[in-house]
Amino acid sequence: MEQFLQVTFSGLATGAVFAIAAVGFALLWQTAGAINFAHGEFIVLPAVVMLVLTQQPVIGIPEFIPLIGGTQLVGPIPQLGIIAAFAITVPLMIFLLGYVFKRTMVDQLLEPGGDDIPLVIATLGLALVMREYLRITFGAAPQRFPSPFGNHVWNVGGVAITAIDVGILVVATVVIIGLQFFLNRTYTGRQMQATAQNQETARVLGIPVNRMVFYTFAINAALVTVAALLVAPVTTARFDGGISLGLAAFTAAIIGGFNQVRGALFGGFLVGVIQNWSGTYLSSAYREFIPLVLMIIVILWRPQGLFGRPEERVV
Amino acid sequence: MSHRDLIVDDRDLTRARSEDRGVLSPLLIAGLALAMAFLVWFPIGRSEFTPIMWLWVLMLAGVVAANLLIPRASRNGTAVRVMSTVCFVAFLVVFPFGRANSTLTDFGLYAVFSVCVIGMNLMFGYAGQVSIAQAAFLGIGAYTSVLLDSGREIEAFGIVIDLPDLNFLLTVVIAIAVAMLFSILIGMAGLRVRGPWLAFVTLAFNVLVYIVFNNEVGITNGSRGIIVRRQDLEVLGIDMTPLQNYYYLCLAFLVLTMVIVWWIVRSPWGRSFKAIRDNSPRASSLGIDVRTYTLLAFAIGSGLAGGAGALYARLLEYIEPRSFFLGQSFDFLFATVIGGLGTLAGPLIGTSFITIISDSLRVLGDWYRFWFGLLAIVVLIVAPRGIAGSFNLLRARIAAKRRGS
Amino acid sequence: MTVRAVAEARTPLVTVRNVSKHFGGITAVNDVSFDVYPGEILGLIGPNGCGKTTLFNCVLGQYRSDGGTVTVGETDVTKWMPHRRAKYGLARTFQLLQVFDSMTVRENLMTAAQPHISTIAGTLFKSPNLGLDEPVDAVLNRFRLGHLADQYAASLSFGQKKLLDTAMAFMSNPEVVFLDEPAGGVNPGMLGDLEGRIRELNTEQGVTFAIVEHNMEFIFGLASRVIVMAEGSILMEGTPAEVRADPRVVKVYLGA
Repeated sequence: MEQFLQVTFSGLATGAVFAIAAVGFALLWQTAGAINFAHGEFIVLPAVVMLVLTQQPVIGIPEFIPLIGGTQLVGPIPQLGIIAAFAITVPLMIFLLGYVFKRTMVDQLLEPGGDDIPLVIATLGLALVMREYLRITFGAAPQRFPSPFGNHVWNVGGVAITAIDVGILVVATVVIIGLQFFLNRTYTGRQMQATAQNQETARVLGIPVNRMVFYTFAINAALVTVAALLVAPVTTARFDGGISLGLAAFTAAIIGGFNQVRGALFGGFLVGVIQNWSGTYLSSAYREFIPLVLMIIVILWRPQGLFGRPEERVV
Repeated sequence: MSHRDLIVDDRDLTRARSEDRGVLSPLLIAGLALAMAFLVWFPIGRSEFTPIMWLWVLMLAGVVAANLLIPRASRNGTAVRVMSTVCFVAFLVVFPFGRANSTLTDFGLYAVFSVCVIGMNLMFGYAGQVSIAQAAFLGIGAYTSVLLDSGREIEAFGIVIDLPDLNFLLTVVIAIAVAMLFSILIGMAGLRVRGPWLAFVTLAFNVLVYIVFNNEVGITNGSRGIIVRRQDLEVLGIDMTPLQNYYYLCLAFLVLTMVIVWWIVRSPWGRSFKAIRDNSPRASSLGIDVRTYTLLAFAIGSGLAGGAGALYARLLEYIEPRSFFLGQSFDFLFATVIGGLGTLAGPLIGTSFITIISDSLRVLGDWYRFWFGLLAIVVLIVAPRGIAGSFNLLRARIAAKRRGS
Repeated sequence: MTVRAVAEARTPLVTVRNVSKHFGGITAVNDVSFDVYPGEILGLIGPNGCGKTTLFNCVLGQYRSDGGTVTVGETDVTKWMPHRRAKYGLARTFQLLQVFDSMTVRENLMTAAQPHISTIAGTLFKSPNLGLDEPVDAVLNRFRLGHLADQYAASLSFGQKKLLDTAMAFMSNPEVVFLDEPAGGVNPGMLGDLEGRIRELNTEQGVTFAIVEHNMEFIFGLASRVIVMAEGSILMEGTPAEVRADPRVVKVYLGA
């Protein structure tokens, strides 16, 4: 029984991170029509950036640029705590993963009336590019990531609860509540929801659709940075961590329901718990197996997900 | 942009009628034949890049120019196309002869992967279905063929099974059949829903297959992989132990695939596929059974990968689950797009980026895959029709301008 | 085909009974019943949003209707997929122009004819043209598209594409052709052509038409019988003269 509680609790903690990731993924899909297969890498990048910022880095020109690559520009930055690194990384990610990503890729490849396959393939390419860049510049070895919550472990009725677990759940709850509040109670948030439902109608109603879409990218960038801060202490920062993180995010969003924030949240927690149960009671290899099978089943029988709104499909 | 922007047909924008096809120009044909013979003969025995190679490059440029400038619909155009195809195959026959094992392996991999990319092109470029599971079918074919040819004992779910030791070609056929079976199962599920869902379903399938490969150690030997020697392998009486002989088997498989797909595309099936790709509700309203045709395209495309897997296993003489994971599926997808969807030459061009070129371009070193991914993105944004497609478009524009239209 | 035998009698070719279609909370088609008789040109008109196209989609299979039946001759096709209904003799065009851009005009027509002359397996091993050259040429001539035969559909003008779209519907030798706003976007010069073509096919070959239209002049000039829809239900039906004179019809259009 204790083991069950332990496993379930850890699953909820992991699930909380998946939930945050899934919400970002679902928001982008729903509001901007952008299916981002590089979502996992979008989480790894801020994790690496934050880690590097805490290690007194030197800022230079990226190596892959010919001739001048590798040149140092700014000398070692004074030691930063992880929270300060986080504070710097968030706006940086909003710029890179929000603004730059949108302008260079999404705007070029998505057209109303077109379909999303070109963007799907392009984000797969982006995932490869990001993975390779991180592998070469950051190194192939996974690195330990400092916990923003310290490392204390409590024992509650036989269940070991780490400070990280608590931190994850607390932060996730705050973020989720904050996001829900923003989307449901603020004017901008409701505008974003309207845009997610139907861009055409929103435009007719006078909503600045393009700005709403950009906000979605910005929120997603912030969410992935938070997810990075929460998950990296547990799974370490590694260049190829994006594959399983991305898979968990899509799976969660689809199972839960990609067109409702509620759905993606639920999906995240569900996937986290199921992964832990599978890992413990079946075999560690089958952690990811069951959620994927579930995802396939959901796609076939109820593509809008367990909590999603059905979307009318014309044959 | 839409999915359709990725595709251009193999022909000019406006095709001339048969009366306007012109006559065969003997001088042109003879000249091209000479240039092509030179292209095939010249590299024999050479392995260093010496300055005289530029002559070869010049000849290649000439052949490419001929393909570009001669209207495809004319008799000359047809002759040029046929000759170029023959030249290409001849090159693949002659060049690797007598070369080092590393070169033979490289070219062998090119042949095997080309089959996979041709399969993807059939599914994606002609029938409009995105599959991110081609590597899984490569793996299914590989393991099926290896296991059926081994005579080993395996253990699955507590039962011990004695595996047969079947003839190699038979295992290839069975590998294709098994791959087709799985793809039909996935397809019946995943093709019911339009949109990006097939991408998700195939993505999941690839990961699931990998997990099974990795974990059913009793069957697949897990991550340790299986060593597959070519000793005692004989095909049509020829001993396959030397890598060179085996390479020609792989090449034969590639040529056979090219012929099969060419035949399918120009048949009524090809038209039905294109109709479904261009406008599937309209196709359905005209009597085309969209589900069956998309299932067909999916089954054939995946079946080809299964057959390729059987050949792949004995080419490298070793298979492991990691070779059949998502990264490889992504590579096939990128190769298809970079080469050019919906063209016959596209896959042959695209595959060179994941085999031959990737091994030769040492100047890029460790960064090769980085640039490769970037290339895929750039191609999608700037030249979505890929290399072959953009070439066709350029040729069509030149021909149209000449015609004064 | 069974449908041909039915054409001899005056029993309806297509019987639609109690068909409804809901989208979420909205009822687009509400318990509609009508018949299509052999040899007639039936018009279907109504203000925007009255459900005409949705009704067509239910009859032809693009939508699954919520209740009701669609019968062709003696056969209940309500649960059939669109391609099966097409093979059974029901052809259609769509409101939004739909031709196959990546193929030539000739190939478009061949594609439209293929499903009706052979099974899927059968078509793979016969010659690529399947002996379709004659029927395709015949249709090309009838629709005056011969000079465009080898041009890619993507490069045709809008009016030419419209003609091709309609021509494709005929490649299967259908019993009933359902046209969805065939006059939409066609310039007045070509409207006469289109009208002529439809009338020819109706009188010379006995093809039955059911046409959804907005262009009153066009449809009143062609149809022998007109059904008027409003808000998902049938308002009235009658000859063009009767419909034109009915005050309810005028009101429904002016009010819309």
